[in-house]
Amino acid sequence: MAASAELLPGTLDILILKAVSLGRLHGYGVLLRIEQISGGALQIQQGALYPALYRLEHQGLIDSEWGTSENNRKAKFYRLTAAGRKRLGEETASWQRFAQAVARSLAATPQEI
Amino acid sequence: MLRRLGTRIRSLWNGITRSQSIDAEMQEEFRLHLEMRTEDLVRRGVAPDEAARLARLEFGKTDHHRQDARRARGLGALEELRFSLLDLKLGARMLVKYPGLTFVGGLGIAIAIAFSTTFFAFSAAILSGLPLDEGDRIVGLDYFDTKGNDEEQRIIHDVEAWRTELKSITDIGARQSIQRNLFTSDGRAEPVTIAEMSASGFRLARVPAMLGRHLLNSDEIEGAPPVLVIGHDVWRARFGSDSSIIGRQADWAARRTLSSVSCRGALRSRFITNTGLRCDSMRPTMSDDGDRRFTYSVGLLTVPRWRRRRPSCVPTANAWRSTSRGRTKTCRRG
Repeated sequence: MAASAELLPGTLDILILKAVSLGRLHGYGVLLRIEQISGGALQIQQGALYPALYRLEHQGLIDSEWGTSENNRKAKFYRLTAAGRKRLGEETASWQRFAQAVARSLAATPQEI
Repeated sequence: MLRRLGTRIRSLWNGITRSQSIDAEMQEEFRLHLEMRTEDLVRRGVAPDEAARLARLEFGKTDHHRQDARRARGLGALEELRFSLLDLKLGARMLVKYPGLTFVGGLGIAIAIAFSTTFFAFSAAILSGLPLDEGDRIVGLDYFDTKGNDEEQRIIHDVEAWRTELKSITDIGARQSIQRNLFTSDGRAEPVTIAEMSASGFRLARVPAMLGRHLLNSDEIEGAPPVLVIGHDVWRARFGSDSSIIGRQADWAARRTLSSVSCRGALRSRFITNTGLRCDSMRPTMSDDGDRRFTYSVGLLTVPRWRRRRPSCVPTANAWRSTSRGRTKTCRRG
């Protein structure tokens, strides 16, 4: 199991968008999917998940519909909208630029200055 | 952009119109979450009761999440309003339930409103103008730095400029207060507050001197003999209410310089009272001193305020402000 990492502020939304971009998911499924794709490194606060889901739905970045879960229970499933897909692309590019800049800064040596 | 705005409005509308069903859906979603988490923990070997307890502990309070979720949907303000309506409803019930308390509270509010209304009406009637002849035409003049929101001191050249430029003011007086030690013929020396003021200040007040005369324009001319007009209290306390005081010499000292002045008049007590001038004596200003700074200037409006539709300001600086007791009027340039 990978070492756990602190979730940076503002990154939960992009992780949710990524999780639902891989297929429609109910709330608990989103939680499990994020843990799965992060290799168990990211633990999401369960209480923070639903406000984030409703916020993204309010913004039109994800959509929801009621359906039946894998164990035949009524569940609300979320899926990415076109606007959400566009936002995910933008946020991913922005995050990669940021991560590369931080990584490059941290890797700097005295000889490079 | 428009589509996103439409989505938000639709979401908000749903939140308002389907409030109860959305709450029920949230509860259903939370319940499913807790059940699935409990099953996961059971599969990991936790006892069912303990697993349910742990799931609830991890999830936290559902009411709290429900409120957060409503705020996330943009329904935070509505949530506050709902609380306010509830408060109003509760308040109305309490008023009906305790009529005695309602009566006392209502009476107290009525008395407070009546008292404050009477007070402000009385103040407005009393403080409508200075208690001088045509006091409603007398206004205070200040330079006002609109950017720094602060008054600026005036020098004598400013006052001269106002005299020539201001069309809404017919006459202007200015003064500043200084402290001097006044020596009288009996050898006593006591500090007095002297108002250095323009002769026009006396013209504006229109209160004749009790003895002798007040200051004249000729007293302001350079080289004119130094003169002094004393206040009623000084006349009584320092000169023993002597009616032959006119023309008598008095000395005052500013630091180490001793000057001699001739007393030219004594003022009625109501001059000090009515003008609000806090001083013991007055001496004329010397207009050739360009750095002389005045703490207060007054002017006489060409038309009484009650006949003026609005103040007509003539630009001399950033802005000028006219004041009278209890009232402040500020007008900007142009």
